[in-house]
Amino acid sequence: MKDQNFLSIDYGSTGFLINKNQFYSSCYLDQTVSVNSPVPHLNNIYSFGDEEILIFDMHAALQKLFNINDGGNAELLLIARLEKFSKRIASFFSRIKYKGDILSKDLIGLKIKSDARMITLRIDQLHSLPASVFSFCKRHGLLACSFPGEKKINYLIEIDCICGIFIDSAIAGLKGKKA
Amino acid sequence: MKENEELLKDIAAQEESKNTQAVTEEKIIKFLIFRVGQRLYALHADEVREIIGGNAVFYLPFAPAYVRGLINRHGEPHTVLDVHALLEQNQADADNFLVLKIDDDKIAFLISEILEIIKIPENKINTLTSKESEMRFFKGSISVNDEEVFILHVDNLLRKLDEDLEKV
Repeated sequence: MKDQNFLSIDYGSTGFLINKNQFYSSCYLDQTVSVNSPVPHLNNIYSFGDEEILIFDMHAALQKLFNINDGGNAELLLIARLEKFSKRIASFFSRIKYKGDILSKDLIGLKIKSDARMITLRIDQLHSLPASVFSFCKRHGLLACSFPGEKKINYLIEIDCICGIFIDSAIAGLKGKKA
Repeated sequence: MKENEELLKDIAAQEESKNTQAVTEEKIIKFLIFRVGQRLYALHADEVREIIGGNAVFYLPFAPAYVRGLINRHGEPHTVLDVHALLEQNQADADNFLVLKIDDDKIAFLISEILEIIKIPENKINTLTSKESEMRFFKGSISVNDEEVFILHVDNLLRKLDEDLEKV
């Protein structure tokens, strides 16, 4: 049976899995700089090597979407290539400006909880979501799930979709204001 | 021979009588009567795979209020529907589940408790004549201890779920 590596983010009874192939590096977050952005959870930048990268606060996004109160510290940054995102989302990220044109056009940071860890799962440890909600969940970034215990679920999430939910909501808000 | 002809007639008459009896014999249907909140509902017993309880319900964002989330049944996720939230507009405070027998899906109804299993002749099922849109969620009704209990129409409930999730 095929194995796959995932980043596991734990929030008590609900956890999340991100396919390791969706990001290429990670680092601990120290100092970030705030930027103005119309998108909630997309308002910090971080110096990563020679580049300034935009940060999407995945920790806050997941807490909001899943009504999670378990705080935890979000001090870990996943670095993902924009080419891994859909054209629509990548294009949106790459159009955000800070002090001219200094933000990376290739990378994005995803802020997550500091106690996230890498795990390996066999594919048969992941379950398709029920047919009745499968398409709906997929559209909202929930691809599958695993049950590490009776009282715990881990959702396999699509980061592109999760970011897209907040971007679409911000765009709809901006259009509403203009109208 | 005459005797045998008469015998054959008797046999034929007897068989005809048997057939007539089979046609007129009433079909008996088994129903599960259960409570959700203060309301009683019925389901055809052959639509139910299992009754389970105490499972944790895992939240599904963006779903309508009557989709309470997922449960883990023998390691497989099942969608939990709260008919009380759909039909009475407020969520049931319950932790038992009727797992439905559906070939290509995994669905469970959130219920407060099972009250009884009853057998009813088919002709005792009342047809619903109301044109109210909510009545499409019922196949009919039966009388249980002098109370009218509606029979849930699983196909139409799932159709409603499908329509609602398409919109989100």
